[in-house]
Amino acid sequence: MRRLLALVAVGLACWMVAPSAASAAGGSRDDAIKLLDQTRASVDETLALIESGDGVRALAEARSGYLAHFEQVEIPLRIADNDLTIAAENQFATIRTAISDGKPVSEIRDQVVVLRGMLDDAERKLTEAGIGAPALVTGQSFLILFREGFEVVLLLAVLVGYLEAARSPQYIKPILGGVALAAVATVITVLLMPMLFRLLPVSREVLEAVVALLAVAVLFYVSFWLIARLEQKRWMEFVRARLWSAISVGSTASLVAVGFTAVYREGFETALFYQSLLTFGEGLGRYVLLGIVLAVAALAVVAHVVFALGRKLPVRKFMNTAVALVMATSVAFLGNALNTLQSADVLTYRRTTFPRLPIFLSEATGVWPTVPSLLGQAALTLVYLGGAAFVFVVKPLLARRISRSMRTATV
Amino acid sequence: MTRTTAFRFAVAVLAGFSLLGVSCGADKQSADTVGVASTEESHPIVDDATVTAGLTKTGEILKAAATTPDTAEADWDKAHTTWATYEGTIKQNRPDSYLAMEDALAASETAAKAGDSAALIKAAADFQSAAATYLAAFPG
Repeated sequence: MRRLLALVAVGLACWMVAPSAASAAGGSRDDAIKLLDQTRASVDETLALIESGDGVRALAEARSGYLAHFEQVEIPLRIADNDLTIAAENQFATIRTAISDGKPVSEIRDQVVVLRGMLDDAERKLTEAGIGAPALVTGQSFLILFREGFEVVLLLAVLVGYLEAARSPQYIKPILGGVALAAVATVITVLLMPMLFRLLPVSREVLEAVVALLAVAVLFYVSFWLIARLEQKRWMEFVRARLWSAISVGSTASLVAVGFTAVYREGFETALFYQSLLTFGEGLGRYVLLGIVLAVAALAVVAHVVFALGRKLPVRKFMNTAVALVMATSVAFLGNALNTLQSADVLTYRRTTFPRLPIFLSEATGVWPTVPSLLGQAALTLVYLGGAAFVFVVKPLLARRISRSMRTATV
Repeated sequence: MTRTTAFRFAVAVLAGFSLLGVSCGADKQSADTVGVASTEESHPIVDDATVTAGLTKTGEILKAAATTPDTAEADWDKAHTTWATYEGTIKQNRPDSYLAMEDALAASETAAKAGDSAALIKAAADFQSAAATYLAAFPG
């Protein structure tokens, strides 16, 4: 427990150190980042004026915002990434031309969405990754794979246990064959998912947000106590039933299918979560990879402990710890999804006056200074806290009361 | 390995990734490349004669690009490199002309990428027109 507290302390320290590391790095960069924020506000204003039909004021805003803000950002940005600087300059010019040519609002909106992405890229170029964001992303990546892998190891341990108890060890091999197939299918899913998504007729930003919202829904489903416990039980019963029917038929294909089904479900979830993690962890890809490497190593040790040494693991303790971190990850994904929907102009940008976190930390936590993302994150956190209060406080209290009243009735 | 040891292992791994994240944390590349640059370094201020020569050269490159769409992208790079040597002076003297020239250059790049001859010709003409307006106010 003390170690766990120490870990939490390390995490908090990372969180606190990251912004100060970024702010201590030098005046011109900090100024440039503030100017980027002013540029964003000007771009929002330009789009709002275009959408309200005031092209003249929109053009004036586009021109003055560019000259007063972005031109100052160019000075350090040119040194960091000259190509990006030129591309952004041209994008501003394209928008100005589109406005003065009276192009349709939808066309200008699409150009603004591209520009917003470039402004974020510019901020990434001007920001140090710091300490907190890499640690958080490594942690999220580790947690996603380790948690899903841990479930697979446990499920396999149960299946192998059944087969050994039923004195049918000859069926273990086809089940492991199914597991291997599922592992290959998972890798293929991870690789194919982005390609399939690209084929869909929606913008990249909208798609990223939808995938993230889907990931949030799945994370909620697997972590929220009220659902997760029932679901785990149901899933175990389903797999067990399929195993028995496969054994009774004695078909190798059915046994392979049992191994495949048991693992691929977790594999698909993993692919979905990594899709969101990679999308929103732009510039932090190596830390996602680091988390994967650590998780694979940790899973190898866990598998060795369970299968080779035949030891039992403190599953409940681990799952209770992991579930809180999974919930935090889902809150981060939700914030990022809602921010992306605003960037794509599906939701109107409603910025707050709260200070902006360094961009990498915003990506890792999903905390962006906008009303929809903060409200969404607060609401989901409240749901989790409410669930925790019900499961850990109200339910035991009710159980105690019922047992007390039953005892009284018996007496 | 006992149950407690296994749990300790899991905690140690969690702590491990935090520490590894910490040790790998700082993104030195972007930190080092972002130095303090003065406006003069980024957008040099030059004399009027240099601006006139630069505008003439940029205009000629854009015109040439309009006649040879196959090499238009390479020409555009040359035009932009030339533009960068004197753009600061135009921005300082006449922001409207500066924006008009930037718009023309951006249109030229888009046209070069698309291989659109008509748009290349229009962009070159827009640049010449903006240059003429500027030179009328600031003859070199």
